[in-house]
Amino acid sequence: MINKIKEILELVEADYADIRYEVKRETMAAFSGRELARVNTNSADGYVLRVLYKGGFSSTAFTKSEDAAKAAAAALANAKLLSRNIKKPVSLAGTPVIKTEFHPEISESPGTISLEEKIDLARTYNAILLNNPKVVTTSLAYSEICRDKYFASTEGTEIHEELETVSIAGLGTAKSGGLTQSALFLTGGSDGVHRLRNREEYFEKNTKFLTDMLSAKPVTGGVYNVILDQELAGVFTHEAFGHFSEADLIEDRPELRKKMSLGAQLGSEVVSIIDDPTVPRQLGFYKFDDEGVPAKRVQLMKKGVLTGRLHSRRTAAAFGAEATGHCVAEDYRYAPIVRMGTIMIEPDPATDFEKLLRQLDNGLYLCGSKGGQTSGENFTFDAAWGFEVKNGKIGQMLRDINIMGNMFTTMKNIAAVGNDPLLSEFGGCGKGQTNRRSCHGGPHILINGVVVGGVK
Amino acid sequence: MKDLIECAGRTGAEFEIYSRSLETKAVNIENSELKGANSDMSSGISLRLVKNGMSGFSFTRNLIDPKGLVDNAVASLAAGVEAKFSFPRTRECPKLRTYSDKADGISSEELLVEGFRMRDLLVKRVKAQVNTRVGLFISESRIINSAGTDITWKESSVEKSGSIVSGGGSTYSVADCGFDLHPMPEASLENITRLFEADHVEMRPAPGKHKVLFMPRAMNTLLWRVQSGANGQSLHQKITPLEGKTREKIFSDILTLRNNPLNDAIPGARAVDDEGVPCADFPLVDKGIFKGFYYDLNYAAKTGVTPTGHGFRRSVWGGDPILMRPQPYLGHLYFDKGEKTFNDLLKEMGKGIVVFGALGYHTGNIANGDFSIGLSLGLYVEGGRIIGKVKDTMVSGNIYEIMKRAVAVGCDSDPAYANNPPVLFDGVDVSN
Repeated sequence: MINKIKEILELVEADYADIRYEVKRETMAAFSGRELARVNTNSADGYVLRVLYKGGFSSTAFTKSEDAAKAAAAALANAKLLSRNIKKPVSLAGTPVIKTEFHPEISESPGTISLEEKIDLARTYNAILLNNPKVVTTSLAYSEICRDKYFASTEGTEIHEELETVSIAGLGTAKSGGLTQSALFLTGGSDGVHRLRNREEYFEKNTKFLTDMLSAKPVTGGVYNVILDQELAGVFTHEAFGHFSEADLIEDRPELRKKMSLGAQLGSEVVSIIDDPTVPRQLGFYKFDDEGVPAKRVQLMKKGVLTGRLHSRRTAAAFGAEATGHCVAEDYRYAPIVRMGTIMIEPDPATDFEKLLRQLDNGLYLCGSKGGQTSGENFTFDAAWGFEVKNGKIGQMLRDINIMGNMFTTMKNIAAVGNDPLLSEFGGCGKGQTNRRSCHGGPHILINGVVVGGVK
Repeated sequence: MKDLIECAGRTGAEFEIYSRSLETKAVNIENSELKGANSDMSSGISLRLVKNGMSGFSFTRNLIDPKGLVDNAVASLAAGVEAKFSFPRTRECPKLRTYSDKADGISSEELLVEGFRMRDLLVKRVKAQVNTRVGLFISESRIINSAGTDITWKESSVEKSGSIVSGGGSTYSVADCGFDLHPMPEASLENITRLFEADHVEMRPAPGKHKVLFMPRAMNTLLWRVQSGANGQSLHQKITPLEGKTREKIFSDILTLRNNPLNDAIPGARAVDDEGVPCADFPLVDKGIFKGFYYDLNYAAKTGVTPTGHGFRRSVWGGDPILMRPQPYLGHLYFDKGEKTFNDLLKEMGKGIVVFGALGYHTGNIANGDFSIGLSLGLYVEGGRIIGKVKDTMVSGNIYEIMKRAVAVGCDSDPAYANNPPVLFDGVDVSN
């Protein structure tokens, strides 16, 4: 296949070109309540061609090999259009020429397990939810995505890498009278189906939280000091800070770029943050990004000081930095963009959860996530559930919790960081494309002065 | 295609073949500089089979091996996904305007000229970051099924947007769409420059109940929850608060909410849904009265009702129609226009918040109708005029409560947001 895609590169007369061909194999078995609602196993494929011509850099995605010449002409024409009309010509940061094939360590590859067994596994966990009489329905699916990627560039790089991602994930919904509550159930990983085995305790525990929410009190809107659990701390790190560490998001925003200068004290001294796609056997693991650059660990923040950011080859050149191997595409339909790999706040070994509770004294303990969003400096995300904390003791359960804030203010309001980091098992960052391997995590963290939405 | 039809026919199953090709071009200008010019071309075919009450599904991007595609769908028949429906025989459907011949010839250069024109108009008026984007979409879709349906349609649209981004990251944006390339009206661009004047004053409204005006761009906050509540699938799953409320008053009588795919004044009109069932003007809520649930073939059969022509290969999250099976979806959902201009609505409000952009509209307890949003752009109104930008504030509520407190509907609908007008509500919770 590498030789075939190199032939397409020969259709382009440009300063640089690369092409990625991908076969994406997907298996899905989805339950809607007790009913098996969808099952399919399919594969689809396509190409993404990128062309750099005299400072103009363009891409074309196409799905038919017979469209290769048309796609090459379109990409080149667009690159020339850009070249004629841009003030700052694009260049690409250097990267070593690599010729390799990489297959990550997998325990129990999904390809070795029958479809029936996969369906049974999802059915078992689905039944745990539905056996609780308060759970009225579920939407729970087994999913596997195998990306078989071939990359070649005119610089001579030739990489074949396979990535397999599995999950059993979805939503449980419980009802009592007129009140409906739902919670996400997220299990999975990128190192094989073993991640999905023996997870009964997780589904049982979270089913109890889901049904307990039916008798929980809606949170009262206001400003609180809060402890976030590891999942929510990870979402916070990803949403509030992480996106601003993606160089493409700040590149053309002068005000933001100024605030995000390396060396700026953006967080409190207890906060250090890394992004590291090289952590083996974690959801966010990969060896090479989708422009053939080896993935690197990046120290984004050290003791509150901004120390690094995530780059593609293009943004690295624009910022005078090194490419970090963080330019990733969802699949064959998309050109790669700068993405987080595995982002987390580093733990403080001296602070356990009990110490955090004592330090909080009065406030909220917020757990789990129902997603989040950023716009400019502002972020918002939902906690799955929470608890009142009074005099350092966890009290009544709370529901319908949404928190928002300004990234720069909130990062400085992080008062303490725990010693108990966990990484997420399921990703879904939607920055234009869905990144199923976007991994986040961290320890429990304490933040002062957070705006919580709710009924007043 | 002929081979695929023959191969699918030999299975003895009912079959449906959905195919789509799509070509896109887009240019984007960021911080006044040309940033990107890209083109994509994709196509695909997906196949559904129904046999002995079971459903099978497969898809491919390249029809190199019709038998392989059919074999995949046959294999998934065995998994046990129940299907109580048959594919429809639809021979005639209304002719709608969905495509302009002029769209085919539009070049990236022409898109760029419009992008630069919008940029220049904004840059002349404001000292701030200006972004513009122009995109062209041309698609051809076809549905063939074993009942004799064979319908092909072409669609074109050109989408344009311009935005001013403040130092704090608030985005003042305007969008427009058409079947081919027409300039964005200068008045629309001027309008956001006037709103941007409010950016210099930051306000923090007192926590409590306020009047809140939802602009079309933020309307998804409310409409996603209606999509969930009125969905035949939610009724089947017993998770909708609207169960048993058909013909009951659920909203203020000033609100009529309809899904009208036949409205071909804007791109995206549809004569049939993605299952070949004829579409219709479907009033979901008529003067406050809930008229009923919407269905695709599958959930209509499960519920024992007639399908309503709402089986689409997408969800509120979007999605690739080749990879998705049809499900109940409202793609053309909007409130009927009222009589108030934007300024009338501000006067009616007196004091309150205008929500131009919502953060987190896709999260929270959607099934229950609850929402709790941050404001990516919220403007504060006092004395019937905008006096500043709202900072660090959340707006929360439940749609089944606040829709009863709608007090006015705007007369200007926005084609870029499914023709929705702004809607003013009283007594909405605000916290900060």
